[in-house]
Amino acid sequence: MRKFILCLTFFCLCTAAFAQDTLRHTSRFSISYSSSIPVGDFRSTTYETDYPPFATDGGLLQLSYAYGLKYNLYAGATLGWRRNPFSFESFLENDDELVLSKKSKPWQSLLAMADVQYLLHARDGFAYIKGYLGASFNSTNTLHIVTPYGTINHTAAKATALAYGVSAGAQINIRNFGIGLDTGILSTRPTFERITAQGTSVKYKQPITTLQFGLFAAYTL
Amino acid sequence: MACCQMKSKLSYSLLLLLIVLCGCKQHEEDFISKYCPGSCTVIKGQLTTDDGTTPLPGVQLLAQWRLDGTLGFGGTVRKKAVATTDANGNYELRLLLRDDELNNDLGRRGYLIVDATINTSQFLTCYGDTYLQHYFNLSRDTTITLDYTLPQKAFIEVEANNLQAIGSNDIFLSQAFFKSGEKGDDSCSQGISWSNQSNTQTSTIPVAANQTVVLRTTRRDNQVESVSEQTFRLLPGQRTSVQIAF
Repeated sequence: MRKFILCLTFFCLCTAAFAQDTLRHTSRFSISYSSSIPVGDFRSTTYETDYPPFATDGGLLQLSYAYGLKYNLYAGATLGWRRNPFSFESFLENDDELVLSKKSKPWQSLLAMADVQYLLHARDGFAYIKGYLGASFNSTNTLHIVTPYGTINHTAAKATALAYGVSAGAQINIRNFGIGLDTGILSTRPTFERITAQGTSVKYKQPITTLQFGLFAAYTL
Repeated sequence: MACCQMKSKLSYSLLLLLIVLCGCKQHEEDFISKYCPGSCTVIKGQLTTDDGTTPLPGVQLLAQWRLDGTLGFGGTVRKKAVATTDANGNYELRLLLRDDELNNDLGRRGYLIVDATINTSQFLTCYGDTYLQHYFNLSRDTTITLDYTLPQKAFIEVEANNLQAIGSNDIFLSQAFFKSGEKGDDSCSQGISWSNQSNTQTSTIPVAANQTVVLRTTRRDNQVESVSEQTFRLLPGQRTSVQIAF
């Protein structure tokens, strides 16, 4: 599965690169920062689940390159870094007498995706809709809670999975520069493996789906 | 006068609010206990079905600490641990008891219950519902074994006749004996009794499927007692009818 995802990502990224060699159209670089809002099972705090994610609102940083295949059709690639902190507020009471100290590292995903976008041009900019497909390299949150009876220590589990999403937005052009708004949804479903207190291995699929709302800056060659 | 009526309404409203608030059970989820860091109380065992020899995999068990409120109002229900039975029906619930759950102060009488996430129309528990067992006065660093037989349900429909002949000191009852519950013996058996005042002639007794069930009918007529027995082996969900007469 991991090899398939890596090959698919490589193929998608190469498609954009080869397109650049054979056609001479505009290229666009952009950097964006969005809020990353967990939805569905990624937000779950369900007690009955072995490892509920307790993910809360975080951020998504993306670097994108897009190449104009046609006047209103672009293909490109996006690298993303998504972080969603662990929600201690949902996990325990603030004044829990059992907690001597606590810390955690957030859920993280590195994303490498190919994308295709369709543009609707206006006088000083354009609106677009974009579809993504690629790979995600994910790690769970860590958890370290010290109590008078011992320590709860969850290390980060890591897994690779297919990632996909759609987004839409609009850009205003200022000469070669542009600024814009982007909103979308990004999803992946890695299979994590953890060792339980009984020493047995547990594998489980964890959907990681986030909504994003953010700003970007772009430069067009 | 208007002022008194208003005060009275206010008092009733406050009383109603107090009753509603007192009636609410406080539901809590103890994740520290779920990922027990040490000094754990462990409840482990095996779930089986049929006659107690068939493992029951994939059943989720939930340990909850309960403190009942006064006169049934209020109280606390706190989730403490969760586990799912493996392919052999084995499970292990690990939890950390908090100081207020140790029953060592203020005469509080909390207790721990073990619930199974089962379809109660399909499985037969000893106490009905999804509840398997309860424990008082648990302590930390303790291991308890709870093996439990959860047979699937079948049904015996008993039609009792000649009820008008039952005298006030007579007895007419049917009991179904089968293996289930914690001990896997017939202590969780179910039954029904009739009198000459009984409204219905036909009653349904839920019994265990895939094992031998003994239906014992006892009659005491003018101090003379007689017992008759019939045996059945039913499939899950199967219904069978029996006619008995006093």
